[in-house]
Amino acid sequence: VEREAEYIRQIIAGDASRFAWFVDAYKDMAFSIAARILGNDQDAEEVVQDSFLQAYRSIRTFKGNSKFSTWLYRIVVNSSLNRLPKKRAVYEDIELLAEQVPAIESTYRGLTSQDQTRYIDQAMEKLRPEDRLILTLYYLEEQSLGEIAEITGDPKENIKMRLHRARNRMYGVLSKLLNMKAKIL
Amino acid sequence: MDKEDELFRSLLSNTRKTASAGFTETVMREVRAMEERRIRRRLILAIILRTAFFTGLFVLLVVPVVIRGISVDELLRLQKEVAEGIAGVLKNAYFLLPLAVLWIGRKLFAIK
Repeated sequence: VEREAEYIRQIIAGDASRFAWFVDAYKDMAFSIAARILGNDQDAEEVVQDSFLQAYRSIRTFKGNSKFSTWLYRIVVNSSLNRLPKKRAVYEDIELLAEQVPAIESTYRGLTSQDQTRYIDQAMEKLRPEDRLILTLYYLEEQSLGEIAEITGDPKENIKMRLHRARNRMYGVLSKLLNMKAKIL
Repeated sequence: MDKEDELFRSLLSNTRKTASAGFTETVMREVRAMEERRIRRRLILAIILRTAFFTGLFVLLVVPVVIRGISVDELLRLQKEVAEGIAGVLKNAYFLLPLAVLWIGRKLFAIK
C-alpha cells in the first residue's frame, strides 16, 4: 500500500510511466471481472482499457481511503454494467439444496480440466451479471465482504446473503448442465 | 472462510481469465498520448495567457498616450528621457555587483 501511495504521488508529479506498474498488477483481475459481467472477452478488454484510462485521468481524486484495487474495480464494474445491453436477458433461476452439492462436486471432479472450465463458463453465462460479479470478486479475486460492498455500492450486510444465493444458483445451473437433479424454484 | 467456500473456490479456480499479451503497452501508449495532449493544452493556454497579458500591458501604456493626443516631438522627448534614465542607472550599476557575483556563484557552484 505504501509503495502504491508513493507511485501515485510520482504519477501526480508527472511521471506517467509509473502507471504501467498498476496496469501490470491489476489488468488480469480487472479483466476477469469485466469478462464475467459482460460474458464477452473483446468487450471486456475494451472496458478494462477505458477503465484504466479513466483511473489515470482521475488519479488526483483518489484519496487513498480504500485500496487502489478497490477503487479501480469499482470503475471497472460501473463501466461493465453500463456496457451491458439494455434489453434484459433471461437468466436461469435454479437453486440447489445443500445436500445435493457433494454429488455435483463429485461429478465435476470427474471431468477433464478443459471440460470443467467449459461447464463453469457456461454456468456463469446463465447467471445474472450481479451474481457473476459477486462470485468472481469473492472466490476468484478473494476480495473481502467489505471491499465487495465498496466495489458494488451495496450495503455490507446484504453481500453475504447475495453471495450465498449466487452460489446456490451457480450450483443449480451447474447441476442442470451436468444433467443432475435440481430443485427448480 | 468455511469448507463450502473452499470447495466453491476450488471449482472456480481454473476459470481465471488473463488480459491479452501487450495489454499494458496498449494502455501505456494511450496514457502517453493523453499526457502529451495535456501538456500541449497547457502550453497553448500559457501562450494565450502571456499574449493576453502583454497585449493588455501594451494597450494600457499606449492607449492613454494616444488618447491624450501627445505630439510626435513630445513622444521623442519622452523616449530620450527614458533612454537617459536607463543609461544613468547603468552607469551607477556597481550596486548590482554583489547580485551578479551571487548569480555567477549559483551557476558555477550550485550555491543555493
